[in-house]
Amino acid sequence: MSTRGATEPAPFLFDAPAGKCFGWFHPAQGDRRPTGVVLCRPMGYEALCSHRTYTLLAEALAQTGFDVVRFDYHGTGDSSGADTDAGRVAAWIASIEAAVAELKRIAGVSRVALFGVRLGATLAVQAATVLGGVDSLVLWAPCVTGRAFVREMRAASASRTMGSSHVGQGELDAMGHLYTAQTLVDLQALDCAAVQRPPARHALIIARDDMVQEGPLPARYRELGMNVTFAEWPGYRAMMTEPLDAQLETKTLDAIANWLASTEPRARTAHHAFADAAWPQNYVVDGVRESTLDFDADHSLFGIVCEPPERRADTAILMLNVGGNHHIGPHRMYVKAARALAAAGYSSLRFDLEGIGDSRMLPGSSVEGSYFRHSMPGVSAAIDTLAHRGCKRFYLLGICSGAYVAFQSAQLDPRVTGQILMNPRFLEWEATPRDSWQASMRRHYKSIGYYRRALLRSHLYQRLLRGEVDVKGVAHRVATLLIARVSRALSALLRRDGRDGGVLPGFRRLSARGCGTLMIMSAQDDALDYVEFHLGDRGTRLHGDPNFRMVLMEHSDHTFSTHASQRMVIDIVRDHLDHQQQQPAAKWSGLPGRVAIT
Amino acid sequence: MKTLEDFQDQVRAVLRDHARLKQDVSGLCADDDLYQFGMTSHASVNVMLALEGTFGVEFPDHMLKRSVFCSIASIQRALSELTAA
Repeated sequence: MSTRGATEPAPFLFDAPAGKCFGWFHPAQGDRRPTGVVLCRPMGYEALCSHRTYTLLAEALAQTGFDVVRFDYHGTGDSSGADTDAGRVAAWIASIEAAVAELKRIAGVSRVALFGVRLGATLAVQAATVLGGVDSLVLWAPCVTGRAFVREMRAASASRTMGSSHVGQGELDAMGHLYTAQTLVDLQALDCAAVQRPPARHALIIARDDMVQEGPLPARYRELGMNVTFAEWPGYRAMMTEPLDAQLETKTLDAIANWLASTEPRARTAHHAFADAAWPQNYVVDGVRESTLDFDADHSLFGIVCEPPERRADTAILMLNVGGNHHIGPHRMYVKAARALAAAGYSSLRFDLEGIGDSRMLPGSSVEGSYFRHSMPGVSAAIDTLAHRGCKRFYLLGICSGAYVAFQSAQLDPRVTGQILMNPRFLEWEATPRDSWQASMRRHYKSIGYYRRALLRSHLYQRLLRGEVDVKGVAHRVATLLIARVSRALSALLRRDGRDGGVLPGFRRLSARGCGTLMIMSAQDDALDYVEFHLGDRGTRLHGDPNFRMVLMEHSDHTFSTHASQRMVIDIVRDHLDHQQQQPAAKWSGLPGRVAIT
Repeated sequence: MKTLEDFQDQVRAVLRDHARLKQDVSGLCADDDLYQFGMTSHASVNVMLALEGTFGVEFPDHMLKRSVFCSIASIQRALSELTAA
C-alpha cells in the first residue's frame, strides 16, 4: 500500500501490448514544463548498474519542472513476462510507446522527450521513429546498431568459465539475460543510423567518457535536419560499475536537464492535479498477485509483495539486496523466484534496504555504510509489516552480502523461521579486519576445491602452461587459508577467542532455536572456502544437525548468472520450503541430480 | 616502427583504463590471469572495444573467447595475428 503524497514519486503499472509494465512516475515540482520525459533503460546487467543514475536523473528532471516516467520493459525488472517470451525486441519498443502514452495520460503533457543509455538509446530511437512527433532524444553511449550490442554480449558470454551447455540452439546467455535466437535476429536488424526520417527535432548525444568516439549518429542526424548536440560529459564509466560501487556525476545529470529545458518553449503552466497513477487492486502478474509496499517508521523502505493468486500464505520469504543491486536481484533472479514461489503457495517480499534501489537514502549516508550498520532494523521492519498482513513464518534469503544480512538478522530477530544463504563471502564484518582473511576475500578466485579437482585434469596443466592461471594469487589464497586455520588452532590451545568468531556458534544458536539453515553453494566459487573454513568441509562441523543443510551446485558462478543455474536454485528453494512445511523436524534427504550434504 | 615494448605498453594502457583490475597493471606479468585479478565479463568487453579502437582492428567471432583476453600475452598474440593479416 502506498503512502506517498501527490507530489512524490509513485510506482504504477501500465498496459503494453505484451502485458503490464512496471514504472515510477516522478511528478514535476513547482511550475510544470510542457514536456514529459520517458527514461528507457539499457538491458540486463547494465540496467542494474545504472538503476540509481536513472532514479536520480528522474528526480533532477522533476526538480527542473519535467514530468518523468522511468520503467521496466515487458519481460524485464518488475514488469510482467520473461526474456524467453516471443517477440522481445518488438515488446521492448512497444513498452516505450506505451510509457509515452501513459505519461501523456497521467501528466497531460503535450511534448515528449526520450532518454536512453546504451541499448536503451537504441530502442528509444526505434520507438521515436514509430511514434513520430517526439520532441527530443537524449542518447548516452548509444549502441549504434543492434549488431554491435549482440557482438558485445557474445564476447561477455564467451568470457565466462562456466559452460553454456544448457543454452538452447542459437540462444545467448550473457550478462544475466537470455537472448533467444529470434531476439538475436531482431536485435541485429536495429540500426540507429539507418533511419530515413528524423526521429525527433532535437538530439543530445553523449559519448562514453572512457572511450570518447563521436560515431556516425551526429552527422547522420544533422543530415536529416535535426538540431544535434554532441557532448563529452563525464559519468558513463562511474555509472557502469558494480552497483555497490557506482558513483554519480550530478553535473552531467544537471546538464542533461538544462539541455532538455533549452529545447522547449519558455512558457510554463501552473501545477494541476495528476490523473490516477495508482496500483490496481488484486493485480495479477504471470499468474500471481503483486502489490507495492512502503514500510518502516517513516515509510522510507520500498518493496513488492508477491503472493499466491487465490489466498494469502502464512509463510513469507524476504529477499535481501545483493550488494547495491536493487530488489529485482542479480539477473532479475528475485523476481523469477518470487513468482515461482507464489505459484507454489508462498508469499515473498523483495525489497530495498536503506539507501539502495527504490528505498530512500538518508542525508549523509552511503550505500556501503548503510549496509553494515542499518540493514538489520530494516529486515525487522519488513517482518513487522508481513506479520501485520498475517504471515507467521519468515525465511530470510540472500546471496553474497545478502546472506550476511540474513545471518545477522536471524540472530537478532527471534521471529525468523529459517535462513537460505547462498555463496556468502563473509558472515561477520569488521570495519578494520584483524587478519588477512577478510581482505583476501575481496579478490575473487575459484574455490580451493576447484583447483584441487582440476589438478586431476590435463586441462589445468594446459592453462598453467599457457600462463592462464594466477599461480601467485592462488598460492596467496591457500596461504591465507592455512594461516587462518593455524591461528584458530593456536587460539584454541591458548584458550583465547577463536578467529572463527561467532560464525559457527551463531549457526549452532540458530539451530538450537529451531531456525533452520539451507546453504546453496557454487562448488567452484571461493565463497565455499570461507564457509568451509568456519563450518568444516561440506559443513561437517554441523554434521548431524537436523536444522542445517548444505547443497553444492556444479556449473554455477557467484551470483548464479545463467538461466539454468537460476532455475536450479529456485527449484532447490521451493523443495526446501515444501519439505519444511511437511516435515520440519526430520533430517533432510538428498536431492537427486545435485551434490547434497549434511 | 613499433617495437614489442611499444606494443605491450599500449596493451597495458588499455588494461589500466578499462580492465578495472584490483592491482596496478604495471605490476602484472605478461602471463598473469587478468580475470583472477578482478577483470569481469563486463570489463573484458570494454577491453575488447578499447583494443579495437587503439589498434584499428576488429576481433572476429572466433576470437571472442576467454582465452584471447585472459592475459597480456594472449592479447598480444591475438593482436599480432590480426595486424599481420
